Amino acid sequence: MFNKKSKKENNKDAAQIEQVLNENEIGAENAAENAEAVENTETVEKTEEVKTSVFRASMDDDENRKNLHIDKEEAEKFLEKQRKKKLRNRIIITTVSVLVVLIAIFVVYKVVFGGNVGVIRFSDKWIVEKDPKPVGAAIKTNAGMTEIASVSNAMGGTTTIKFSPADSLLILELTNAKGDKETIRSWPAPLEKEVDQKTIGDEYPKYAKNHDIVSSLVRLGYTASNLDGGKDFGINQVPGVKIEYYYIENGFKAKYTVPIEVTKTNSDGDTYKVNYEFSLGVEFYLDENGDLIVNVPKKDVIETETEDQYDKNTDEMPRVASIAVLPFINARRQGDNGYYVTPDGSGGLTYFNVPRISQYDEYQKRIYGYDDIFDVFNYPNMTNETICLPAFGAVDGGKRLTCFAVESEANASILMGQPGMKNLDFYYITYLFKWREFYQAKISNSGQSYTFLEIPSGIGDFTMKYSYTIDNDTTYSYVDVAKDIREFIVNKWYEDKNSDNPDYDYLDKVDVNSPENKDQNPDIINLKIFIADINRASVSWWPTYKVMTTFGQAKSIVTKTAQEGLGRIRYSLLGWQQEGYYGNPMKKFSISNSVGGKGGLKDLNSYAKKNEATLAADVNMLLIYGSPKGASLRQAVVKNPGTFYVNYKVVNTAGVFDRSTEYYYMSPLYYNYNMLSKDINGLKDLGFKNVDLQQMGNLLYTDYNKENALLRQQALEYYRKWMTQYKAKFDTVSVYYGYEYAASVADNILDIPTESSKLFIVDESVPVLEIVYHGLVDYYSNAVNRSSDYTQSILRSIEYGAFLTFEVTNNTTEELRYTRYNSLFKAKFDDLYASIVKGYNIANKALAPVANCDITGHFCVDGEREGDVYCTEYSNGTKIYVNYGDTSKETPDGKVPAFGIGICTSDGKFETLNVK
Amino acid sequence: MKSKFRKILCIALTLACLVSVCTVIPSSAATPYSNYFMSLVDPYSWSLPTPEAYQVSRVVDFPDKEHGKLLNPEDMFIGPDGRIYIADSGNNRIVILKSDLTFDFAITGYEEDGSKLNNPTCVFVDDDGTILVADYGNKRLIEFTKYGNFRFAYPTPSSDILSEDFNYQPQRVVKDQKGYIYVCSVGDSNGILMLSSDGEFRNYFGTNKVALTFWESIARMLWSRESRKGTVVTLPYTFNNIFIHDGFIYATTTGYSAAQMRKINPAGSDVLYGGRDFSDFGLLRNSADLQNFIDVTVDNDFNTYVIDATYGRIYEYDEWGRNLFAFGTVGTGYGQFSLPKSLEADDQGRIYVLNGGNNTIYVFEQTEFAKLVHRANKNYSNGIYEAVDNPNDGSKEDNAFFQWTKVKEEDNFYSLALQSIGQILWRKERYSEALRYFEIAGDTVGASSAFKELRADFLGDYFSIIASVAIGLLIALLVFKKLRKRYRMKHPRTVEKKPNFMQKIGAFIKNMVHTATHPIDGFEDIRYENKGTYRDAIIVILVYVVTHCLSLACTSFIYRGGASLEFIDWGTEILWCLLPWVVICVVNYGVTTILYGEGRFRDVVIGGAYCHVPFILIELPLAIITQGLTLQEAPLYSIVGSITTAWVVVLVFMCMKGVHGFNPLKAVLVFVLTLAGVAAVAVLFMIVRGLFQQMVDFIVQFAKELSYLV
Repeated sequence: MFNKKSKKENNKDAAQIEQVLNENEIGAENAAENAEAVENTETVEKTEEVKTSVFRASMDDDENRKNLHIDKEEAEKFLEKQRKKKLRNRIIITTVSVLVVLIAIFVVYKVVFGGNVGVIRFSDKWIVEKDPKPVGAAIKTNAGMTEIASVSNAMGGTTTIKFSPADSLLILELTNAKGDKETIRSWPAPLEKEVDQKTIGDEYPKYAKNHDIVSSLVRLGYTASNLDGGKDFGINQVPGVKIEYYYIENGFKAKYTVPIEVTKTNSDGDTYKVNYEFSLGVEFYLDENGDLIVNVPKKDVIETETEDQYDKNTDEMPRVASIAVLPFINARRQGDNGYYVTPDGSGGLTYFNVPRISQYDEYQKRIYGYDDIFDVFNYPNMTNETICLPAFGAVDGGKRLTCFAVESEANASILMGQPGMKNLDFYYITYLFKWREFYQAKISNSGQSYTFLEIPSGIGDFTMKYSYTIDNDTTYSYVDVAKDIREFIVNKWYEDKNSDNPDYDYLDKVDVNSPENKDQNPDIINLKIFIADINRASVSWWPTYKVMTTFGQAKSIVTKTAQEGLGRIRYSLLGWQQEGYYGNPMKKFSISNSVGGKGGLKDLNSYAKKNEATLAADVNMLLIYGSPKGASLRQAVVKNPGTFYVNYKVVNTAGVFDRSTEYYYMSPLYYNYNMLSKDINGLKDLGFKNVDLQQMGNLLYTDYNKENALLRQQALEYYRKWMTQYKAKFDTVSVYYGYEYAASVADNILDIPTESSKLFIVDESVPVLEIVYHGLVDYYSNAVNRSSDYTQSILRSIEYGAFLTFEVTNNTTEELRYTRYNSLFKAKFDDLYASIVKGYNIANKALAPVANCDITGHFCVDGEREGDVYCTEYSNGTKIYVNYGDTSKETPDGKVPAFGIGICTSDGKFETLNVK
Repeated sequence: MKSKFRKILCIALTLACLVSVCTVIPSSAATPYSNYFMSLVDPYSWSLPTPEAYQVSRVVDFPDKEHGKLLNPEDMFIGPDGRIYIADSGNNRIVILKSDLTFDFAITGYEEDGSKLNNPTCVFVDDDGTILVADYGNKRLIEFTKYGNFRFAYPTPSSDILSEDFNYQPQRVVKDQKGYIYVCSVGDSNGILMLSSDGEFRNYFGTNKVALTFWESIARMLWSRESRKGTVVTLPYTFNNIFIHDGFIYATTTGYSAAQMRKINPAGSDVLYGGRDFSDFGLLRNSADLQNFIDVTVDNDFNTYVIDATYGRIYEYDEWGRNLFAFGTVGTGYGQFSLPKSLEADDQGRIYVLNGGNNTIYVFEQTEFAKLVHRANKNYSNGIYEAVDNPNDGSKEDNAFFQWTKVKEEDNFYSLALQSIGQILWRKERYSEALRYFEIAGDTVGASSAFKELRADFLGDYFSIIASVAIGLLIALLVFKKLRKRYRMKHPRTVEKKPNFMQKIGAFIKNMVHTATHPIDGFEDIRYENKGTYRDAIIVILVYVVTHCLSLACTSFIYRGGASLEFIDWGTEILWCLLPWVVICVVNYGVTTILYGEGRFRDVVIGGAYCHVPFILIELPLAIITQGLTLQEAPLYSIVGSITTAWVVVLVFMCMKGVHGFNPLKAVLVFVLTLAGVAAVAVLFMIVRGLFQQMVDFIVQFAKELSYLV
């Protein structure tokens, strides 16, 4: 009723009444009559404003008020209420107006003036940035071969470093205690024919052209503009590059200044040139062991400040993108003896003397796996074993090299090429350090993606170490390289733990892995018990939960194996969360009653505890399946430098990325601050004593979410830190796959790779990773019942010293076919039971006695490579032979049956086992 | 003589280069590509993963020396003697490998006798070893003896049938046992050229049909040939590869129509599984690039293999057209395809792929799982279902049932195993077990046949009892009615009691049924007698929603198309129950307002609700009845469904006529206008929906951008 008249009209009415009242010309009766008339008249309805005016007018005039039958107290209350209301309204209106104005100003500022969209600065925690070594006298650039330094080396001989600025040639001269000598060149000596070609010059342009690339001490990736796709040159090829050399302690330093000339066009259409430049310095020196250290100090990479140099109009952004130092120091020619050792998956060998299929792309894999923030594939990359160790090697008879990425390893890739690539005649291998990353971003809704270079660089110093060993009386192999790596990483773990740097204080809580700290009686079978997953095809409002095993049935599985006397089994529960294996990690602990509920899980845990069985919870830590519940995308999800949320891509059954999923990577810092303690407490509440942490050992990524910005190098330290916190609360902590940083503190590694990538450049898979880890940390194979060749899978696990894994369910797995967990083809416990018992007995006889030993040897018995019988030797003298062939084979220690195993103990006792 | 000497020298030199250097890379465990199969009986057309089926056992490469390495090879053929013939187009030669994949010899031809090859794109070898080459660069077919001696160059075909602008560019060639030669000529959309043994043109063979889009069809209907002149002409897809096996020509087509692979009989008809679409929907659902099937081959067990170059997939089908395996991917890794060119299968079950990207041949070997599947399928084809069926050795393991059971053990959800086990059990008259397997496999046809037998058995056993009970109940009902009538006559109701709840429901149902069965009176009563209320309408619609959902749940597995209940989108189902009612009511009220209809909005709404009564009455009982039906009775089911729909349509019409008081002619007009209005609303909805989505998307994006800025 109050709303039927406009405010304006009401005010008018009120004003009229007020005026009348104020004039005191209206008698009480008239006023009452008027008031009554106002109330009763249909056209003039009472409004609050009118009422307010009348009450206000009557406050000072008792008679008038009496005549109007207005109670004073009521009127005061009413007026007070109105005052407050008015005040509130004013505050609201003022606040909203201010906000609107502020937002408008903000939008105008950001949109019209562009604004700085926020260059993300990463913290410097765990980023090593040392001062460059002081430089001494300059070395003349046209000087011939000059001895720089000579030090005693770990072989009992000396290592001398020489350098010829005129030829850009670095030479290491090595001797050992026996007097063996070896000369290492930073680029391969030209063949006689090539030398002739060089002298003839233009008549043989191939060599002349390539000489600049080959002799470059640095291979540099840089851009002159954000959209030019980047350039990749040997430093000697870069037009106008200025090079200076200086003495430093036990070595020398090369300083490069790279000019970039950009042609621009002004508004009149005239062109003009602008010169930019950046510089970098590289230190080459020998350490106390005679190893060659190559260091690119961050402080020596000098670029013009972003704002001055970055030209928005032309999108010019001359920047360093990547640096590879001494790219050809390990170069070999086709037909040479020996091979490269790469830690690809379990480890791979690339021989120089085998016919090679033409390839166009260099082998380039990041240490610690792909970073999905930057590595974008149109189709799934299925040749995808990843690199677990920050090292590679080269072996040639009595000469071996092991090269370590010492600092900023998480930003390094191993780069390997074969003859024909880059128009070169060599095999080559080196580290490629990513100073900045290229990333893809859409700049419109058309779906077209463009490649950009990230602006900030949070990386610290790049440091590599080349360790050469020579012995003319020995034939080295990948086993020796693996041992070098093992020694290197164990030392590194201890260095981190004993470091004065407070960033590493968290390691004080735990013992990093070493043979002394190792579990002396490890479980020899990992039995994964799969609980449930959600039917992904279900479109109903209540998605169907496909239960494969309830907690009660899991208990029966534990009971049955225990009854059989299979005492050394660890059990791992997968998919126990409410939504199953691909459930949302933000809500882990609401457990479905259909699998037994919280009570059932607690009961299972207490049963396991009572029976002294190791029962572990498989925990998804960082992959968000669906939208992040209880958090916003902005808080919890990883972004790329283009500020887009990064999707975790799932490969569908047909082998392409599934576009229907909205999965994300969780920001590690979000996990750190919001999830870590919840997870630890939740798992403790459920009674778990052991945890298998997903992602910690097999997934590493950068986060450009401004809220949580974090580099790979930092993320891995956070992982290690979390693992130490888990270790403080749980008996054992396991990780998957086994990246080196995670192996430093994990008790077990699950699903360790037992082969290398399916690439033509990798000729053979070898157990480098296993040789590094055996005796330091226990590791388990992938589930053998998932393999298409069960026998081969068991044999490979035994050969590589990996304890066996089985994955079981209580029911047959037909119902999993429409879930994401759809490649578990056979897993019914009852059907697999006999195989599990057999596998247990095999592991018990073959692997249990050597569980705490180092692997000291590994070789093919019946051929140089790719034979049927392989032998693995352990430090306690045990030799284990495995025969992949379908006929029995003789070995020096006895006959190994077809598809069987031969175990020769140190006392010469030989025992065989059949696997098939 | 000189020529012969040169040839021998050439062969010897080439041999010296190649004989010992075919690179052989041994197999490894896990495959770097996906392995799956596409189940025909899967109600969701999804791919399901399988254990690895084929692994690369060898990669045949050649040294990078002069004349050694293949260069842009185009075709590969496995001859009857097991030798492998490669059309090494870039090197203008045919390379022949022995069956152990070592180099045998090469044919280059000679300038002197006019046999010099120029960009050969196809090689075919007949039973007596004669080598027929599509010498593409010279636009001719050329024939060599099995030793590589030049025999004959076929002339360019000529005929009145061939068009004036006929341009002969033979790209693929095969020859049948009668000596007829079949040629794919580039750009010739008339079909495969069929030539006599001496190269005379006979006819076009297996011509493709023009595949028109919807709009092209409309344009054809609306405009004459004359008017269409100057527009783009749509031609039939051309064949890009052919293969001959057992008298049938297998062909793949360029372009992206259905029936990408064809099996053409001598009469020129496609007899391959009804010319179905071989697209991989599991793949295309998530990827925009269309598939391009570029070669097909058939093995001795009549399994057909086809390769897609876009995604690097090989698909294997058995003789009934069931997809056994799909595997492969594009890439540069070991066993990954980059520009695959040709596909062959040998009699050992190996698959050979000529990979143009790195000029190599990949040899795929079957895994134990694939071997098991093939053995099981072959035994099933040969009728060896169980041990006793095998007349040869009677081995307990060499029979389809045992092997399919093993397959199922290895892969719990390999539908073919489940389906085949069901079929064997069916043949062994173990129908209830068969039914269970068919249900797990999602095979409605199999389930129907098994259920039919079970039903027959059940009826055979219990028909007399059922009939007796039915007759007894009928008699009892009649007697009850008679007695009740007599009782009521003796004790007539004197005082009208207030109806109780059940009686109210009874009356409501009676009224509902009355309206549906007497629509003329029923709908007029709504308008003129004020019968029916909004409450009634809502109840009717709710009952309809409930019965519809119940009927979906009660429909038998067979009539649900094998789909599981958990895949029913209940939200959509309920929406589709309500949406037509709401839209038709609104549109109809709008139309009738303009056309002076007498009905009020409430009448339209209430009348509209009553139109759903036939669904309520028939859907649920029909769904329950399907529990006893097989697919043989499907026509009956369809007829009842059609009758129900027709009844509803009639009711809608009568409703419009009744509530608005129209004469029949005007009612027809209103009916048509209402339908047109509904169509317009649908179109409008689509447009608005699109715009709305864009608007929402814009707002979301804008908000995101703002959030990024902040």
